[in-house]
Amino acid sequence: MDTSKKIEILERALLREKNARKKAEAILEKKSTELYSITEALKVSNKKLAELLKEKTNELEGVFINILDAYVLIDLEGNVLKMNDAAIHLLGFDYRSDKVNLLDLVTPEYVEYTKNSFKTLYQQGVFANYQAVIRTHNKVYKLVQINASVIYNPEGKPIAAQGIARDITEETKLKKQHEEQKRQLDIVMDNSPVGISLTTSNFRNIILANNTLTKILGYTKEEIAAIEPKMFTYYEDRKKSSEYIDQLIQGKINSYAIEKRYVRKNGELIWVKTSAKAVRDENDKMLYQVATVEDISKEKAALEKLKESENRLATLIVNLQNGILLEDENRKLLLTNQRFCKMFGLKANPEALIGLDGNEVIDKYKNLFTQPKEFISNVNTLLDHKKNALNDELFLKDGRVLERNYIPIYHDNMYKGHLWTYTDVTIQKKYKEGLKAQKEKYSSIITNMNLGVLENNLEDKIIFANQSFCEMSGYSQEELLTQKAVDLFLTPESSEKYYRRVAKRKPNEPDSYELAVKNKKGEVRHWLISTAPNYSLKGNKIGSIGIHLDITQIKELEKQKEVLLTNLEKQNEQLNEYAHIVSHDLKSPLRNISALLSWTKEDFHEKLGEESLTNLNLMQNKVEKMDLLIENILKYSSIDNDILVEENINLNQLVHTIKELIYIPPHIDLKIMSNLPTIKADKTRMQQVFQNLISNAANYIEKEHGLIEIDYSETKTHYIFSVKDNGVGIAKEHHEKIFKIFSSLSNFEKSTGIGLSIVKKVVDLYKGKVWLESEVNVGTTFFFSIKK
Amino acid sequence: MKGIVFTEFLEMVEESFGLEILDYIINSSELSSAGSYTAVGTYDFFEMQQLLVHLSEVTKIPVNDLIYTYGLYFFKTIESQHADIFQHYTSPIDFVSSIENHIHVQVKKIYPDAELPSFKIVSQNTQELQLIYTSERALYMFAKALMEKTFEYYKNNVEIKFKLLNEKGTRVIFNIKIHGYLQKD
Repeated sequence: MDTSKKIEILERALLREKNARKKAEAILEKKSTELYSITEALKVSNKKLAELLKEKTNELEGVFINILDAYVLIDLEGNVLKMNDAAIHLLGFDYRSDKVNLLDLVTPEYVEYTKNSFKTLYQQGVFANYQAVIRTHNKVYKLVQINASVIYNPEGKPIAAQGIARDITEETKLKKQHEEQKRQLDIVMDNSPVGISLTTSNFRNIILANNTLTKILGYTKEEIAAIEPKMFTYYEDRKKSSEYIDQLIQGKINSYAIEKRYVRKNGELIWVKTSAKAVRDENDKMLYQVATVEDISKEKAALEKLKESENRLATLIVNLQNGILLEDENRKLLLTNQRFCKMFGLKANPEALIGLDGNEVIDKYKNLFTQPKEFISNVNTLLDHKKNALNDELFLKDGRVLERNYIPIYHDNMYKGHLWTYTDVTIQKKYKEGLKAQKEKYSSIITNMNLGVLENNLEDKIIFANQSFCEMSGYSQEELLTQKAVDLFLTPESSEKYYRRVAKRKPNEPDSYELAVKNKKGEVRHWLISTAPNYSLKGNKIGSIGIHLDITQIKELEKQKEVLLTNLEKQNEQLNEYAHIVSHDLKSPLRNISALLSWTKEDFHEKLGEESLTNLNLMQNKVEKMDLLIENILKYSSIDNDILVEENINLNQLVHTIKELIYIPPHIDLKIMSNLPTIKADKTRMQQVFQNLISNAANYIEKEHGLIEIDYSETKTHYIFSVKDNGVGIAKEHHEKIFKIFSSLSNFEKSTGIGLSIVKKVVDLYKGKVWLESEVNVGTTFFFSIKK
Repeated sequence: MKGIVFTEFLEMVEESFGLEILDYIINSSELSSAGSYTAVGTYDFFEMQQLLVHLSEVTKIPVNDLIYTYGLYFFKTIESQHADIFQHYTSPIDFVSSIENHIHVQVKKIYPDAELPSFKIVSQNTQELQLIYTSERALYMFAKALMEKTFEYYKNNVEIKFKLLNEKGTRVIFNIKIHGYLQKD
């Protein structure tokens, strides 16, 4: 860089520096001027302030000395420099004559506190509300309150302190008293059983509410304070409440009491009695309303109940089935009812009688009684004695019977009158008599019947036994009473059976059972006992009643019957066997005879005459009939209860089988009228029934064109079959006989008289019946039923 | 902008780049002060911008680096002229965090017309400080340099990261973290 350029640059730099310096100097000069003027202004205002301060200090000094409160000026050690008259009065000495240090006046317990307070004072320049007890020059103790400040010299050094003292002994005492009173008041308020409130004169706020009121309303005190008072009153009651309040505000009244409902916080209504009073100042301006609130919901409810029950009672008396007459101690009639008037045929209204003299009223109806004079004298006696007389029976001429009660009324041991009640007991009386007669009737029946009756109490002790029972048991009434039947009659064996039965029996259930007991003689008897609980009229169990039947004889007969039955069975069996044997044994000789007869006829056909041949044929017929007879007996005797093979039988098929099995002459038609059912039974037996009835029908048709119709119907329990023919018919008188064995109405060669007996026996077996409808020469219909 | 910022800047330019460069940047700029600055005066920031741009042109150093370097340089001025302010604070975090509420208040007392950046504290504990720098001047690099120097002054090993919250850099968030102490010389 050449020198000239360098110089140029430096020159420019120098110029900049000069300019900068000048600018800086200008700025500084400007700032200095500003500072100078500010300082001058400050000096002036400082001076002004100092003057002002001095002025004020002088003013204040004068004020301090002249103020009503005690003013004391002390040096830093507490020695009094100056004091005003009030201070002289308060402390009891004069600084002009006595030399006093304030610290010496303070009682010992306040010394430490006072020293600290002085320290605070010198450090901070002031202290306030210093309170201490001092002993004045006159040896009086006073509680004083002092506010003090330090006085400084112009250099700012503290040189003295000044203070204003107040005697607050009385004030404090009053304050304490006041507080105590307030506390007492609060206790009274909060423990008062009635709610108390204090409301502002504009009725906008409740400013005070005690605990009871919070309980009544269910709101806290804070909540109560926030709610407009009238909102507590139930809206229906607000109007009458606000009317009172208006009058209170207008000064027309000073207090009022009202019963109304409040709405509690939970929405419940509560009846209260509110007594309110205005608190006014000397100018009659209302300051507050003070109110007491009593919860009267219980009283209200009780009152309601009382009213209700009074109403009920009144209605009751009016509608009572008893005649009522209430008289006071002077026999003046107080109350009577419709029933009374009606009972004695009095035309007057019950109300019209009120106030009349009892004797007068009696005159109106005494003649209705059978013995009016006795009635009157009896009334007078009762009135003299003034003692309860209940259920006196009075007889009326018209046959009615009345029951009368006389009840004197005492209140606080003072005779206040009496109540007559009359009840028409005519019907009850008749009923009672009827009942008595009935009872006597049944008692004699019970006593004389063959059944032994025992009545036990709850402890199972006998309280009644009838004559029959005494005879049955061999014990007398006296021996039985208060005994336990179980102790008297049970044998060791029957005892076990009895208790097992009782254990199984439900309580209060009737029961019947047989029991072997021993009678007084020790003989074992069999009794059928029916027992049942016995109840009182009210339905309470009072014991049990047992009916006893001596079945010893029946028992023995039963035993005999069993023996007989067994014998009979044996005999029956033997008889069956016998029948078999006999018929079998009989059949073979018959076959032999038949065979011999055939051979004889063939062998001697030529030699025998016409007559002999006829006889031989007859003989053979008789032999065949005898064979058939024997076979049927065999069949009959084989029908037995036990041997039954149950199978499904199609009866249509069965009838067709029979049709092919037996001989039906060509002129006879066999028809099945309606489709027969399939039933469950023993096939052989069913075949026996149908075969017998069909062949019977076929045998007895003499008409040119014979007809056999088989039909069927059913009931809920039975199938009913019928076999109808147009044969000879059966006369009415034979209808029963035909079912008996060996009875045949004809001499028809094949008739053995057993067929219908077999039918009957089989049908009986199936719990059915056989019957017939028949007309001679027209035809017969046999019906039989089979249980489903 | 306070005059001291200009006088110190010119001082630094003269020291670092020579009187010729200084003369050049002043002559290249249109300055109403004509480049004569006094510490007690106040000048337009636009003059500083011109000086910086021309310095950057002639030295080929980015403007932000110049600002940062100037920040490091300027700290020495503070250290020598206002050493007492460091006595008020026991730690650099205390110091930095009270720029806004304490130091700037004092500055305002002396220079009521000073336009100061704001340092709003986002979070703070003994080891970390997060704050947002806001200034229309966008001199965040200057602030970063001053803060680094401050930590160094208290012999703290510090890591200062920053992030521009807008393009111009008038709002910048600083994350300052202390990593123990620097070795004593």
